[in-house]
Amino acid sequence: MNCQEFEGYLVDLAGERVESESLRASLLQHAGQCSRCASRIAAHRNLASGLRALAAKMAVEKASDQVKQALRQQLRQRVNPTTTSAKASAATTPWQRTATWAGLAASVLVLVGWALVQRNRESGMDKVQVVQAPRAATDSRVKTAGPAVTATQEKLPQIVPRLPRPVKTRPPHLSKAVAEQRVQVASRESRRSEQRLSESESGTADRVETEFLPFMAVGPQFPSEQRQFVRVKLPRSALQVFGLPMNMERLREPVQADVLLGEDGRALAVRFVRD
Amino acid sequence: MSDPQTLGDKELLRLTRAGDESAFMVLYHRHQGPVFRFALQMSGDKSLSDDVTQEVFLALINETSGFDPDRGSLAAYLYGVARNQVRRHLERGKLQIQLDENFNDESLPLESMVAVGDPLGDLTVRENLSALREAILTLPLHYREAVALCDLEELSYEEAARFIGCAVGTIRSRLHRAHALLVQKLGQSKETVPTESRRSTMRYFS
Repeated sequence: MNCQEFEGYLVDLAGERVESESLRASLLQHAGQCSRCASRIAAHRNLASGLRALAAKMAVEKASDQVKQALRQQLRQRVNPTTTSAKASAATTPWQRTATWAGLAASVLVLVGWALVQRNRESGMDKVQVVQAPRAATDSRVKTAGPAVTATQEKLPQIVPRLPRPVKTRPPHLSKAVAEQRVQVASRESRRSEQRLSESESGTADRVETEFLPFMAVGPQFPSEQRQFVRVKLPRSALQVFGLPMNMERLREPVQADVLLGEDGRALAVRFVRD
Repeated sequence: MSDPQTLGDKELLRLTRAGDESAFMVLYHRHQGPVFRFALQMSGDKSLSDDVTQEVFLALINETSGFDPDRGSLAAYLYGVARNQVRRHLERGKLQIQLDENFNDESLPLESMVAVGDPLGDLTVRENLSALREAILTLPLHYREAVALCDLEELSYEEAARFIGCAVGTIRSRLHRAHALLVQKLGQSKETVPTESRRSTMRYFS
């Protein structure tokens, strides 16, 4: 046997994997005669010893109990699909759990964003941005928590319901009774104001205003009390809320409105104004 | 009903897929150790090995594995799935290997494993076992597989070749090359780098 042949059996000899006794004897004989091969077999035997020690050490290693529990729950869920999703989530791997939580967080963010948008839309009527007094007969100024507003007193406009024109849509967030009332007034207003507003939108009229449109929970006949109105700017989409036509090309431009306030500061009605 | 412990893998798998939890537990305890250890030997990461073990058995439970008992043993199949899972994790290139600081060699029968006339020194000395473990993790994957299966799991060349899906000669050749690399690495490291400093070494590998 020469060194090259010995090399081919080096690992097997060190790992006690040589089954043939005659071959083993031949290999050992060569190692006894060649110092280089003897050194190599010694190094490989030591490596084999280390590997055996490592194997013995690692033989006790096993998967954690959480793996077993998760698999057990997965099996139960598979047998009984009605098992709660919480149990199902426990059977997923960490990266799957991370993805699930990320998805849930994204969903929550979307919901919160949607709620904020809805809230902003609903509170858009409260955004008092204009301090301009619409009438010359200003006799009092009302300070509010928000920006300064100018309030005026004037004779209460009377809103008398008339026969409605059928309207196909109504604001989705209103109660049925209020919505019906709104539809009646808005229908009348639509009919009468459509032309004026369209003229206004196109710039052919100098000043256009609708009649007062009541807010939710306020009857068409306002209670007898001292009232004030403030000039505000509202999103143009507010026109649609009251069933009025809206020029989509000017969607980003706000519209002016006079909000009628009761003595307690409650908004009673609104009318849209274009100077 | 017969004791699940006495049943073969094929029957246990059939019962598992029918929803028999006790059959699955027998199957799990029978095979989880080798699967987990193989993943651990390949990755050096216990958490990743847990994940791999879970994914391997989840595939078995959910019948997404496509395992056919008539085409091979369950053990070979599980090794194959574990191998693919480990490779997938490793090839992400994000794995950070850290030797286990709690790796305890106290229970090893050190004296009984000391080789005589050893030019590399005693690899069974407990601090050197960590060096050996680290050296194995630096091997290329196909060499590491051969060491994990043939040396650490003590499978025969034929079994390892069946599990990996290659020829016996290929396994033998890879193991030979892996041992040569390990001897070389350990010899070099013994001369240049103090073992204690490597114990806490962290490094990336692909």
